[in-house]
Amino acid sequence: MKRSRLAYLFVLPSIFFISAFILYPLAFTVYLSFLDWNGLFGPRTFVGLRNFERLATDSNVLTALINNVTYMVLGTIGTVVLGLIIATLLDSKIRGWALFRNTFYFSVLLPSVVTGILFISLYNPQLGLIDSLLGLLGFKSLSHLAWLADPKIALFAVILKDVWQYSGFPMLLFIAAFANIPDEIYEAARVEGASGLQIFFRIRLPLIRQVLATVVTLQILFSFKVFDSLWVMTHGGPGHASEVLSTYLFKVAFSQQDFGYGSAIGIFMAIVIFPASLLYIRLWRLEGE
Amino acid sequence: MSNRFQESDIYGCLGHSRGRWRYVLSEPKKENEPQKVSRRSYLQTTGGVIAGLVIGGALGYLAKPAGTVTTVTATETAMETVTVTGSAPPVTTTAAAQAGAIDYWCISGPQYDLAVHASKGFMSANPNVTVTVDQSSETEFTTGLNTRYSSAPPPDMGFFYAGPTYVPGLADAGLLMELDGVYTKYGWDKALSPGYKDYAYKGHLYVITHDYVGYPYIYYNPKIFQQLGLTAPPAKLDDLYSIVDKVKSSGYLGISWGLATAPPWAANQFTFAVSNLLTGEEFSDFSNNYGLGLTTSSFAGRKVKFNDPSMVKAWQLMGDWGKRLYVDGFTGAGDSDAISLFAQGKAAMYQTGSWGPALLDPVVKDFDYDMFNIPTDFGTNPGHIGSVANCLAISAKTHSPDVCTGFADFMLSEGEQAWMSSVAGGFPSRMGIPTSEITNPKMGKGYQLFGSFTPSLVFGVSLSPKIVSELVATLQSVLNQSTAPKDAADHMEDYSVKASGSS
Repeated sequence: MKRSRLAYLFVLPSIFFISAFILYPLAFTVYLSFLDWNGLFGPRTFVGLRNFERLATDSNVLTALINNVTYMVLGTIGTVVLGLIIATLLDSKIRGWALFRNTFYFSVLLPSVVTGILFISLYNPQLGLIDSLLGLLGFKSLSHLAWLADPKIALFAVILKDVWQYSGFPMLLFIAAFANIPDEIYEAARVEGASGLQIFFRIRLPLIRQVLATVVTLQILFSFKVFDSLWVMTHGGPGHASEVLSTYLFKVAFSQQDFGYGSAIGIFMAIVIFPASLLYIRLWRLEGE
Repeated sequence: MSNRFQESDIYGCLGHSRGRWRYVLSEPKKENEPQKVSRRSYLQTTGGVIAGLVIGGALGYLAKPAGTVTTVTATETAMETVTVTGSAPPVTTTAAAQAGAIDYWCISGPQYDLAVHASKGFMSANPNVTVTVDQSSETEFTTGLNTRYSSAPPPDMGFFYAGPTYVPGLADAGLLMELDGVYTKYGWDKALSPGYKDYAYKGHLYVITHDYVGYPYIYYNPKIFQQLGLTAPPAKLDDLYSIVDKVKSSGYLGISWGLATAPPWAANQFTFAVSNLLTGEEFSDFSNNYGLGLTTSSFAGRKVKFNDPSMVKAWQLMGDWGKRLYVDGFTGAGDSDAISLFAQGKAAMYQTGSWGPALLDPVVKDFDYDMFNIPTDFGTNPGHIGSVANCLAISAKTHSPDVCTGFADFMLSEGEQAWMSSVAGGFPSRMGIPTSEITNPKMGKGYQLFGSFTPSLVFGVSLSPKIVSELVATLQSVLNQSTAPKDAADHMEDYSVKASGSS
């Protein structure tokens, strides 16, 4: 009995912090979603399900959700595939591979705000480096492209920047995973006449599938929470062309001072992310076993 | 026999040596094993780090320079603490303020420059006072305004947007100092342009009208105009279209506009269009009902709607201007890029507000730029320009109200107002400042142009916050041709009805 009391005492701080910083804000957000309130002062008016009704008919939410899914799919595929390619190349231990590894990983360490501002200049259709390079390389049709102002390509321009910036993260995990594959397996495969591609697809990938699944799940979670790059580079615009749920939530809650509706969007976002979170937890448990 | 590698081969191979590989895979790698840390070593290291921090902090504190201290904390938000050791601008008015330290928070750019300039002068005249100037980018400032003034501690005072979008929430919550008595005490009620009364809320004053700005202003490169045989200013909107067509067909870019720096500038431009298309009464009806009246019963009785024919014409103008006047990609370009295009002679014109000279003077070296306004002949009620007062507000929670009001009075002094007009790009709120004191001729010309128009409060600060950001986003999509003007007008009307809660 005494032991169990002591155990409760030890977990008490965790329970306190989880309650204060996760459970209470979660419950408060649910409560807010039924209110009309500006978030800081003034009356809190109970409006029932009105915020959720508005959510269901708000075309901006649908646009944001589609953009979220687009960002998630392309962003995840881009970062994972690029990370995998770089990791495979570096795993061949080419001369100076450690320098390349650190260089590729360096961009991950930079704040998105910094790289976002950098890419605004790079993407400038009149003064940007990308425009000049495309012109020099003969892609005249692509030069003077309004990367961040054209609603058809603004989102993809941000995804491209994020793929460049964050592919270093999966790369590092893949390099670590590759390092755990014994050389004997490769040697055996080569003796059996396996080609480089066959070794990659039939040995490397199957043997790092646990890491691959974790990386993909993490990227899905990260990409659903994307905010900083889009906010800095496009503010979700032009119009709502690159709007995602997080930027729209921010605008609604802080610019429009409508915390009730913002909370409803937040709950919707949590519901959308929930399956990916469950998948991640399941993978984490499997890895533990 | 084919030596083609088969999937089954490799797994057979694995199966053949399964035991060995399992051993290899599960064998812990010693080099990767975490090293155990002894309790003594842990305590020694932790103690060393803490002692180092304490000693370093103490040394740093003792070594702190006594003169000018400048601390830049981030790209977006920077803070500069200025302690004056040298000369300061002349003091023209202001009684000595009480001792104290205040935080002043404002937008980056000219507003920050003028705050730093004023703080130096004020601290020089009041040695017991410290003014710390803190700045944020326009977007961060806007979204953080309510949060900062509700936080503990809030900024003591700072730049503030005028108008119903920003004042009511904070005023109703008792977070802004009521300034009725202060206006009388310092004589601002007589010294300032009577426009300050327009910014009263529920009959009380919560902001101090520091200066006025107009929008939009077109700055042009006379060299290019001369080379192409163009005359400025254009008398009619069609003349402006012809100028831009000629400029573009001659290999130059049109008008550079860095809308990404402050997307609400689109709402300023829309105000300009609307104010020239509606009568004064209609404009007031629209501003009131989509502003403070949005969530009240008066909204149902509004006479002008977003998708009325006269308003649709304003949306169409926005679409036309986006298509015909500006450089490609302007909705995604920053103001610094827009200025670069103009200063490098690639763009023949540059658009911003009346504060343009404050931004252009430091960078435009190769030509003597000039300015004009977009002709308003398109309107049924021409002669209007978008305008807003740049205001100051004081937190109700400040511990140094006298220092704050004293600093505000210093910023309204003749010398500071003239300096502000010459360098930081606003038109003085204090009346009777001779134009000879505005040493920058460009600002003087801008002031004259401003005086030839009737100012209309821009929608970015007059409409309800519940619809402003949506209006800005919708205007962007019209400007870049991704939404038809009529569809945009219908969308905004629908959005406003929903936001009003009356749907």
